[in-house]
Amino acid sequence: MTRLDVTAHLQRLRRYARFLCRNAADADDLVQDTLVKAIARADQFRPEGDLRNWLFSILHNTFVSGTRTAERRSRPLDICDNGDGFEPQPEQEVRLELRRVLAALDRLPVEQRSVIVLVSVEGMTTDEIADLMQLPVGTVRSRLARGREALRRLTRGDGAGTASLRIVGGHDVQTG
Amino acid sequence: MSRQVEDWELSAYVDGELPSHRMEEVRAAAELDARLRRRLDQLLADHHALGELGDSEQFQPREIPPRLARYGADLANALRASDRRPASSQLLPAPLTVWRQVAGLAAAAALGWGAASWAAPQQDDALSSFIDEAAEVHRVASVAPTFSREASASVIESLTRLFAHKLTPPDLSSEGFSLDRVDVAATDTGPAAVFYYTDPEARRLSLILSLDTPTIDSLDDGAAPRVTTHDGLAVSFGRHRDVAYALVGSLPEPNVRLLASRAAATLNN
Repeated sequence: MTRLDVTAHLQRLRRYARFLCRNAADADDLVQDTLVKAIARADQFRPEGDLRNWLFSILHNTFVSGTRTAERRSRPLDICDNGDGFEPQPEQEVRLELRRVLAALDRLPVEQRSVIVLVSVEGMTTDEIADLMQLPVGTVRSRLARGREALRRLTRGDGAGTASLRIVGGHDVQTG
Repeated sequence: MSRQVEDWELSAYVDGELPSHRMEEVRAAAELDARLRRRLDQLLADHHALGELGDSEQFQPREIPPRLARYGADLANALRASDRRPASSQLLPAPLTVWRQVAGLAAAAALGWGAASWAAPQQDDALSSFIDEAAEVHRVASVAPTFSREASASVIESLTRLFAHKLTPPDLSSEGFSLDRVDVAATDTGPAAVFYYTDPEARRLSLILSLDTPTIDSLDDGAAPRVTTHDGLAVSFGRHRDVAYALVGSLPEPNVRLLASRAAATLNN
């Protein structure tokens, strides 16, 4: 892969977008928006920079800002339909256990979901994620740990996880 | 075991991000504490399950949609163009880069077309807007399904009436670009006809035609097209009779200028 090989990163961007959006068409729209923004900012890409992280950063910020906009309009998560439309095809049927993890992941706040996916799926380090999200590395570690613990509890049907982390209308709420 | 295992350390253990001595301590603690061991096993299981999910076709389909492939190719071209620029110019915001290019070449403008290869958008706000709009039209163009020949013919007929010229989509096939579709764009400088081209490498070109009088008045009829960069895109523009045109793409500027020259020559023959 050459340093500026965009194609090599497209599938990874689509994968990350699918984990965020849970809707294939919306995920590809998100990737397209990312590429359009990247073209407009091509001058800002540092030659010594990491193209993968730069593109992931644009995609992540585009998703987050779109989600915030949706929240402001009281149409939660409408940039990415968080419901159906992404049911696996029969031939792509994943094991029940995997689907349970996926369902639990969907219930996490996006700031936890994103770091979990970047680590467990994309194989990024917490330092890389901190750089990508412009956050202190301690914040990333904390989000990751809290997210994983919530995921563990949700996956195993532990009520404690669902009590403290439930997404309603795109907002985290404490349900006591 | 020197101290209790914190939650973030369990997570860092899963990723192998703890110092080696602490990794050993966490492992030893888990061997002594069944509850901790179970928690760790579950965290590891979730981690591996997500990795497995990520490798599944559900999340990593093999086919890349053509529209994304095209944008990807455009981005690669834009990055290569940016990469070739001197480091000092990359530090400048894009508008400043253009202004500096303008300033550097203004003195040479009087030498004729060859020297005046850079636009001077400050000469005319209308022209500057036209270039902005042309770049935007190219950038946001959704790569819709190719129009049928009949549909394209119908659009061209409408455009011909609108432009009061017989519009013939320029033939750029000798340069490897074929016409994908024809469209009308609503821009701040009025309606614009847009011809979208692609080549076998999925590189895109957009030819934007405008009847905006202030824009047309700021250009010399029949002069060779000028070229500028706009947010990483090369924009070659000029005037052919009563039509202002701009050809936009991520190709090197000389190539876009050459293609614009060829397009203009056949614009309304």
